[in-house]
Amino acid sequence: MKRKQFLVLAAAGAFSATFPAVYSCSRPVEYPEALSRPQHLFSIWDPETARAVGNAYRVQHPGEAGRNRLVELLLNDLPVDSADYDASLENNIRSDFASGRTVQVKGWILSISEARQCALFALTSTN
Amino acid sequence: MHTDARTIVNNSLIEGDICIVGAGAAGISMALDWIDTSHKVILLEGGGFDYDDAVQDLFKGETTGQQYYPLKSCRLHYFGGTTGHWAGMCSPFDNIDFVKRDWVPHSGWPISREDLDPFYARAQRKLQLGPYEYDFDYWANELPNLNPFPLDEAVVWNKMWQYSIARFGNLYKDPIVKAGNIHLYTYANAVDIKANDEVSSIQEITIKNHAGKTHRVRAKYFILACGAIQNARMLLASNSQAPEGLGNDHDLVGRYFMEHLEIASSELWLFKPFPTDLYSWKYGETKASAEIAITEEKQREYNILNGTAALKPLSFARNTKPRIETWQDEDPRKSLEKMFENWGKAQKDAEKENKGAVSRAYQLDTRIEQAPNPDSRVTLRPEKDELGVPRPNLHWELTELDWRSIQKIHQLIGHQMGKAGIGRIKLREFLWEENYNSWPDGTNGGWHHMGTTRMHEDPKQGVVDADCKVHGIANLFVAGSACYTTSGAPNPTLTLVALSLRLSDHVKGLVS
Repeated sequence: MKRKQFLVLAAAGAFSATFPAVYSCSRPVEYPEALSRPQHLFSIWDPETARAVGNAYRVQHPGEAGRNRLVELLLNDLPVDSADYDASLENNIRSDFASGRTVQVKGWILSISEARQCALFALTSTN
Repeated sequence: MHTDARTIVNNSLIEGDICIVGAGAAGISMALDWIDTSHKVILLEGGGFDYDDAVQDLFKGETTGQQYYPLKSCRLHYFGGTTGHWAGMCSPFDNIDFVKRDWVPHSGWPISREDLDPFYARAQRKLQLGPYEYDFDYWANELPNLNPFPLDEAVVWNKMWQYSIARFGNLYKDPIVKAGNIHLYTYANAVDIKANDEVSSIQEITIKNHAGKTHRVRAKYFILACGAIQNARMLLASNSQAPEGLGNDHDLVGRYFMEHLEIASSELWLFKPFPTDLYSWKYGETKASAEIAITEEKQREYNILNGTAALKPLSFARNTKPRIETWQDEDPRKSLEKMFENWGKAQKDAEKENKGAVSRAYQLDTRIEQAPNPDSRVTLRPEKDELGVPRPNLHWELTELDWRSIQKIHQLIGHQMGKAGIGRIKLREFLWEENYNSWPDGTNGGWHHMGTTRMHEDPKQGVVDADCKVHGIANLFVAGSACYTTSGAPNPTLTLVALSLRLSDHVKGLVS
């Protein structure tokens, strides 16, 4: 949790003596499962490849290495009222390629959106 | 007419109107063009009609720099030349290949694609190809199932190839031998070219063979058509009157040796099967197919060389060894056998693996011109062959522009595949870095030898002029791919036959 949020809660009287003195900043944000499921890529990759690419992306982009940040970036690019996240993500991916928002990760030429999906998958999936 | 030069009286004098040295694709194409004219054409071939290892050994030399094939086995030294085992891939150069490009040093031919078009059409017939049509739309109407990938035509296009099965040695032996005015001499290796005292015209060529015979050939016009390595070698070795070799006043003969890089560069993984016959071909069956090319506009935008990407099923490609590895026997027959053996085994192994996602995956092999590099060159070695000619040394050298162009081509294809939503590209590891690092072990050439007597109007920038005449020597010409100023994206044979036919017409105008 950021300091600003803590102060807001305190001012609103939400502060309680039983509230953790240090609110964990890594409290996971909820997100649609589609964000961590790069659908097209699973038709050509196994999960191990997706994880490896995802982890490589996180190393290349340390500012996007954490789950919350990745979720935030992915959600920011989606329409607010997305009913079909898979379809919206697919549109974003094609739009990324069309506008040159691509990255090269372990040799793969990927859309930045799907690279972030891989990174989120790497963080949240188990072997 | 045919004479075996081993059988005639020693020190014979052979005379004609024109003398063509070399009976490969260039030499035979020109000789055919002179049949039934009123002129006597001497056609010299160093070998016979079949493989002869002693003759083949005359091509032996050394290579330095980037790994290359053995010089003894990367060409054939008998009537028909390297058409004796070529794959037959034919496509014309593109317009951009002929123009000066400010990002490609030493680019810019003194002739245009339009100058060659009429000769391309004639070359098609010599090579027993279909019509002179290389537009995708034409072939999409003619052949079934040529479905193109749905890619942006402003970035990539489908460059078409046709396929010849012409073996000039078999196909044209009879017409040449039966022609009354074409005098073919086999076992007639050119070993020296003698000029007049001013070195302004050629008087005669000395020929030798392993039977110990030496003869002299005189003609009004001489045309070297032995291939880029041998043409340069002959000019450099003929140095009794010009110490640096004939036509070499500006140290250009042998320089700018160019190959086509043919190198596994990326993988294409399709999300779903894409039914098409457009990007595959089978020897003896396919009439036309395509490789993915980059538009002229994008070449200009990114300052890259002209090249294409050919598709090969990944399960097969993974099991093959690079040709630079399998083609290392000095006997071309054994190298060919090893290469085919590897492909045969790879095909069997591929059948077991070709399931699931990999059945929709392809290796993309780049076929790309090499940037003209004066340090990539043919020189002479101190040791001599059995006929007394210094052996050649090939120093093959590549540049950063070659590497960067390959990287960009596959990045552009990767973007297009993503934009089309049909698949993803994975670059090979040697292309992962931002900047040029090194070439991988599997860096193949296409056995295409070009540029060693390059064409330029300025004698300080070229060995031959726009008519393929050696600068400064009135009656000496060079035929074939040695004259290329740049090497173009596609295989050289169609263009070298076209250029040779153009030269043939020019010389006909001179003798008339």
